[in-house]
Amino acid sequence: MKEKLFYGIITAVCILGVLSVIALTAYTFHLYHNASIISYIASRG
Amino acid sequence: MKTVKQISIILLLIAFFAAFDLAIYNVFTKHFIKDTSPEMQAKSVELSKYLPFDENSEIVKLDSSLKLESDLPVIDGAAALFPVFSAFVNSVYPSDSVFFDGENFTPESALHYTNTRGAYQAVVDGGADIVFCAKPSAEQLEYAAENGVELELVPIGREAFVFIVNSSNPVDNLTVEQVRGIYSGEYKNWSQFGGENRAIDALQRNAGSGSQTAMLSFMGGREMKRDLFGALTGSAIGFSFRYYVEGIVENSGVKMLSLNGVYPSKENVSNGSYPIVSDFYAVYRKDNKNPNVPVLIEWILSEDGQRIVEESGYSSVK
Repeated sequence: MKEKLFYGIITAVCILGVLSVIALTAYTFHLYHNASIISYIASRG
Repeated sequence: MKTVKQISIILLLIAFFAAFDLAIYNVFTKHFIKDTSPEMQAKSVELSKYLPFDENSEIVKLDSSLKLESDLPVIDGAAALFPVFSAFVNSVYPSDSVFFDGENFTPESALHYTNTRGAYQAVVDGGADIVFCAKPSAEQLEYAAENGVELELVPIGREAFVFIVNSSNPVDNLTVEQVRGIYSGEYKNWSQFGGENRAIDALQRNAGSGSQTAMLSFMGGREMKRDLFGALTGSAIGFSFRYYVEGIVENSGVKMLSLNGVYPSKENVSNGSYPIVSDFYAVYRKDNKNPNVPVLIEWILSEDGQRIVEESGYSSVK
């Protein structure tokens, strides 16, 4: 694999990976903000 | 060979991010994902179950001697009290005064529902004439003061402030001081109360909500803390009002704790033996000129109004 292609793929994977973490964190915060305290307690042991 | 190594690095990097996302999901996200039952999805209250002028409604229906036809005070309030003030409207207002679009009430409706924070803002801004809520927070009073508004709070009922845990938690009772100790970070493990060896996750509500304001009052100035380890791994404790837990949400996955050995039953609220009982209020602006505001409040404090409070699951102020 050419070096340029390899580093390009690495960069793309890193960018997508970081975006996925940010998206999941934002989604989790959105759920947290709207979660019922009662349903939260009921779903955790 | 070099290509194999490069591909391995790429796959490892992908696996790293996938594992990281999976860890976030398992530790945090999945606990907030609502299941499909209506109770779990009800973040506050299912309005459609407690609508006025609906024959299938679960509100208390009472034929009142007071009937208002004009100058109808616009009503709003807390989730936990929606069945109560919906019942007030059902008894006293004309049936064509309320407009529900399937999700919530329209601006033209005499009955609104925006929950505690929205209701306090509405009564200050003039969007509502009377709101039914627990005591206002310091921020809500400050907002009123900044807008030159003086609020009048009339107690119309009483309710127990309760602490809830998962039904599988072996702890059934705490003292008032133990609860304060949990929320101030003094106690961190359920084993300190005869429970499992598991961290305590002391949950709070949003600032400005009725139960959060009540909790701040209960703590009496002691700072509340939420331990990170408890948040990640612990078994939770939370708080709310008795009827909201028992009568509105009705989630069998939680149970209410006894406090000082007294269970928060309706009887123990009425006879004063349960240690934390709060008033809830009809709140209006002192400068409100609607002549039916005092008329409606007087009726709410009458035998008819207090009967609605009692039969809705709360305790009357009488």
